[in-house]
Amino acid sequence: MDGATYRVLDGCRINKDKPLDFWFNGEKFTGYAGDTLASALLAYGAFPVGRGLKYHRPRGIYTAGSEEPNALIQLETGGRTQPNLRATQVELYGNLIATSVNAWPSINFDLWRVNDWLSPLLPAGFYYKTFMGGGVATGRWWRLFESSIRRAAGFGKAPSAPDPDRYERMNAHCDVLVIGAGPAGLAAAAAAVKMGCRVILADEQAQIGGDLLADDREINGAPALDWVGATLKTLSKAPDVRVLNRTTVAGLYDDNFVIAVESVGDRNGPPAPSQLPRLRMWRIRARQIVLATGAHERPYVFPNNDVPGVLLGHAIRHYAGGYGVVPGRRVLLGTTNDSAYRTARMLSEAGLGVTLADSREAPPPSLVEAVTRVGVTVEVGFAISAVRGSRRVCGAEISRILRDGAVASAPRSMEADLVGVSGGWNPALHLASHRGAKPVWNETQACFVPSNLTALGIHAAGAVTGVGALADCLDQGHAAGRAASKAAGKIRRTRKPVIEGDDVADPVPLQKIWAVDNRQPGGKRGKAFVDLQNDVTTRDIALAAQENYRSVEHLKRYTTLGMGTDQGKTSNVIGLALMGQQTALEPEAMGVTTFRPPYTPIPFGALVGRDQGELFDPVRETPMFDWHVANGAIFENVQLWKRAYAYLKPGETLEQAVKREVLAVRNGVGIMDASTLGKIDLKGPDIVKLLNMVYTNRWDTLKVGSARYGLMCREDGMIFDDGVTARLGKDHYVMTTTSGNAAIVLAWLEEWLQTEWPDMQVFATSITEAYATTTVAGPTARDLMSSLDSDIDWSNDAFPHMTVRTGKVMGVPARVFRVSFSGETSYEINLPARYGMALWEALVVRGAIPFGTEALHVLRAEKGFILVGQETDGTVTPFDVGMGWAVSKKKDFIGKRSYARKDTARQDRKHLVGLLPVNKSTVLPEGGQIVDDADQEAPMAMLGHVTSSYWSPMLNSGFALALLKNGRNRSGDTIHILSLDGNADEARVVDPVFYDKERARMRG
Amino acid sequence: MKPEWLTRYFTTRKGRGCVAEILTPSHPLSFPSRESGPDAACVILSVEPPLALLDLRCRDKAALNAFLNEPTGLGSSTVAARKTNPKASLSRLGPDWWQLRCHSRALADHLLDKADDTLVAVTDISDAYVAICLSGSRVRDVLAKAATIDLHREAFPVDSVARTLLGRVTVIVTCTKADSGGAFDIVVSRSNARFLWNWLIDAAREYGYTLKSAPEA
Repeated sequence: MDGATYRVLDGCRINKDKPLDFWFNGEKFTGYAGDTLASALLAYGAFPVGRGLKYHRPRGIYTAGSEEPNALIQLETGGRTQPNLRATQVELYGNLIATSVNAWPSINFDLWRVNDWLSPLLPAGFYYKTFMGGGVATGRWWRLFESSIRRAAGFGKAPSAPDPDRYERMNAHCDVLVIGAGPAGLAAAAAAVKMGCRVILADEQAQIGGDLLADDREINGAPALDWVGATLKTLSKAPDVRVLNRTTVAGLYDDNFVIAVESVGDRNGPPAPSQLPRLRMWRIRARQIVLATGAHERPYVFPNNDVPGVLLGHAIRHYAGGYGVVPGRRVLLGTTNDSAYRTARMLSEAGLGVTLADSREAPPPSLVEAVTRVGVTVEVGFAISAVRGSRRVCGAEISRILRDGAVASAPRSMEADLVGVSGGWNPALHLASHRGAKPVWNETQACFVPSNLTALGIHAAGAVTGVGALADCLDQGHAAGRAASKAAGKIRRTRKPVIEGDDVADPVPLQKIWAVDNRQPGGKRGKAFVDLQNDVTTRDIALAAQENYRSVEHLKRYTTLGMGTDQGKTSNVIGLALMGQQTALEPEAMGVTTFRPPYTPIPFGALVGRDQGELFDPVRETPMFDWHVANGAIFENVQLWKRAYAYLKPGETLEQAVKREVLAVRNGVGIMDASTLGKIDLKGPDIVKLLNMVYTNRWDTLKVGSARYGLMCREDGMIFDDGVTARLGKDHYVMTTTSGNAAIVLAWLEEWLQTEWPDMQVFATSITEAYATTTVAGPTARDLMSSLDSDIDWSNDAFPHMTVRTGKVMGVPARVFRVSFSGETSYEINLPARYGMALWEALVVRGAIPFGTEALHVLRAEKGFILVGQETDGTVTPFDVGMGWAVSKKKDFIGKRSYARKDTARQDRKHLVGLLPVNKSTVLPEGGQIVDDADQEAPMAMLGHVTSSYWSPMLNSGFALALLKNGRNRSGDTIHILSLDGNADEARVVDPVFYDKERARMRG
Repeated sequence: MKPEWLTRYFTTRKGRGCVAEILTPSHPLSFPSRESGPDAACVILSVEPPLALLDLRCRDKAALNAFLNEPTGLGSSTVAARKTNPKASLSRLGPDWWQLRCHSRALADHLLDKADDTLVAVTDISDAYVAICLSGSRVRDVLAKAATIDLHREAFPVDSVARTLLGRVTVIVTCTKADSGGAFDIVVSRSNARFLWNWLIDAAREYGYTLKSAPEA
């Protein structure tokens, strides 16, 4: 690209000693350190950088901040690419790559521009009416055009490769959060620091100072930037101040919880130093907030107001003052208020030809005189009524204007290649809106301002309140800082500093003009855009009113006004005011749509942070986890636990491994890592009372050294956990729970103890992790245990089934439970967790075969033992699974009364049964629905479902457990199990205990 | 592929001949010390020695004080705070809930023997937890990534105790030192220790860190 010929001034934000090359739409450009992408591009002129959403008309940079509707770009490529960033907010770095969005095949030749020529056929509501409105053709039309419409719609492209960057999240707390570091925000932060507050000052710009950076303002008779520097110095010296520049506060939530996104690595460009995050999401909890977010300038609307080279007046000053860029030689400024005079003076002093069209009949004489003196031509009572050009401004028209915006004279043609519009200011009240604060209309400033904030712990200051004078902003900032500090409990007597601005002595209120109605003969006609991003025109608003849309929310949805990445920051108020004109309502009566978080779009990476890959979710590892990993274990997730599912030897399939492990336990001895089982230490004199209430069976007679199985039910009588509880001492028991329910059962006990039975003297403490638990199971388990150096007598007489013993195992204090879930002779050795690995290795050396949870499931299912969560699903009672023997009739317990309910007392509920497939090689599908007749018409009569299904090496057959309607009375029946593939398997209903029905093996 | 730390772990253990008759204790955070990043002094993560940790539950403060005073010289506090002396540290975690960190195993065993399980319930939870010490000039920044509670020196002064989530893992965090950026003791469940350790290392990457290995368990 040819030289940056529009860099005509020095800019206070850039460093001309540091040129930076960058690439835009494949062409090479050069900017400077400190530039934004927008300022660097404007240095080459106001050429098209984007296309409108609907009509694909060329669009140029329009603003200088987060309100930008046009200059959306795709930053970088590959995994680092980010769509829809505003060029006005992208800091320039060396070799930056950016491309335009929403243009095909290119920004300079966009075939979708055809929509502009077809626009009479594409009014607001076209898509709803054509494709969604019903009627015979609707579906057919949509199918025909869907792919084309989808290709043409939307901005940017999602990345197609993983994002290589880091994203971070931080929590922060403060007494006062100041949002916005312009004059009001800085004054507020300084005041809060003086009051002794912990302060966070956040601003979306790279440099602190807000509007003062773009201007040659004075404070206390010296350049305003001196005051900014001095204030920042004060803040930096304070111990508890955090200044977050490049940080956009994106959302305000209840209790002043705030999210903000800080750009960290982005400003350095790729590759960012690997340890630095690209973005950092701040989660701030602020006692009080000072809202000093300033205001966005708004335009007024006129035909062809979307041509590149039409900018907001303030943006022109921003680029000129901050970056030394004025993208034109002959400037026409149209204003309805005082603010454009500073721009006019700055540009004229830089040697540019400037015409200022002020719509007011009587602007401040001092301002007129000041700009006239430096060569500006002031046209009083005139407004811009049209712009000429397509790809950039090549002229304009101004017309004498009436109070309501109607044109009162034939247009005058003006030479201009840069047009600035200033139609007033919209306070940036979005964040207040997030908290539900309703904006109210300020007639003097013709804008909505936030209201009723103090009760929310928010204090507004500066332009966000509608004030425009610098002195007012500074005053309000100081007052808000003090008020917020006091509300945060920091009360200290401080002296109010003298801060004076250089405001105009005779300000004149702005004139309310929303759109220039250019119907004079000879006037340039064309589309007048209200919302530049969504291509909503004045005609669309009129059409909405004509079609009787009255609510602003309906107007928004019908026309798409205020949608998109800019959320209507420059367009909403104009749109609703024009709607009000159509319906004879004032803006106050119209109201505004609700602003919702985020203030600007947040990349997913910032939301995800480091919660990805290995850090996606916490993982719980048992003391023997490393051994499992090193020995071929594959794992299953049980809650957060990693449990060894099976140990695969080289070349072994899962099925082969499970079979080997099952046979090891049935024929020899296997060991399993059962450390994940919940273990709750119970102490106190009332434990029996507690156990009697939370378990369905009786606990009065359990002796020290004995253990008992128990079923735990909710109030509705449905099983929610089971386990063995052992008595270790007079007032000392240990309860075990399922692995997944350990924390839930502990919370359940605490809930009852704390809320219903506070007098019960029982303390429950989780000891799940204090012990490593190794299950030793199999017919030779006793031999293995006997080989260990221990003072425990392992004989069946001294240590029978369902007892517990304490002693030393290999020199370490141990608790050993004689319980069995496999149906074999089984010991559960509990050692302090630090010794778990060593014991495990010692047992392996002695020939024990490790088995995983899948082998255990086969073993327990062969025995007909239920697995909570597999055979139960919250709708299953103890009677349903054939465990009525575990339900006492002689005592009360949680859930007992539910068994008197008609439904739970039914005799034909679904019962636990065993299933043997007719074809022995079949393993029935778990979850498969059971029907009597597989050929019946849908909807079929479902009788139940398969809960567990495995291949049994002992039976040499597939087998299953199932819940079957009236199952206990259907033994021997043949039923059918449906598969998802549409097939059905035949199976016979049998007793759920398949192996060792006498239970002799586990008692032996 | 096996992670590097796992290979190292097993090499070390096998080298020690850990499959012998005497059971050797192991620790989930057994790694060599190392430094990394721009400034290794910014964050220092040290693994503390194995704990002698008792869970105390009691509804009668007088009974608790009577139980503790003679052997430890400590008594219950009314707020979530730690009391410490050369023998032990007592942290209050709830209205009827304390944790006593004994500085010797003998003291813990003495208290376990002394407990009668009625007025004061004493449970040995030494192996349920692992302690990590975090210090360094940027330690509060690392913790701010992990914890939602306010750990500012005024809001969370020395000896403050909180049971909270750190990197989505439940921990008991205690401020042990205020100067030089501060120091924090973090007690985390054994099963979560390695996840949290890796989480904290990752969080410290942008500043630089020093890892101090676990002492012999």
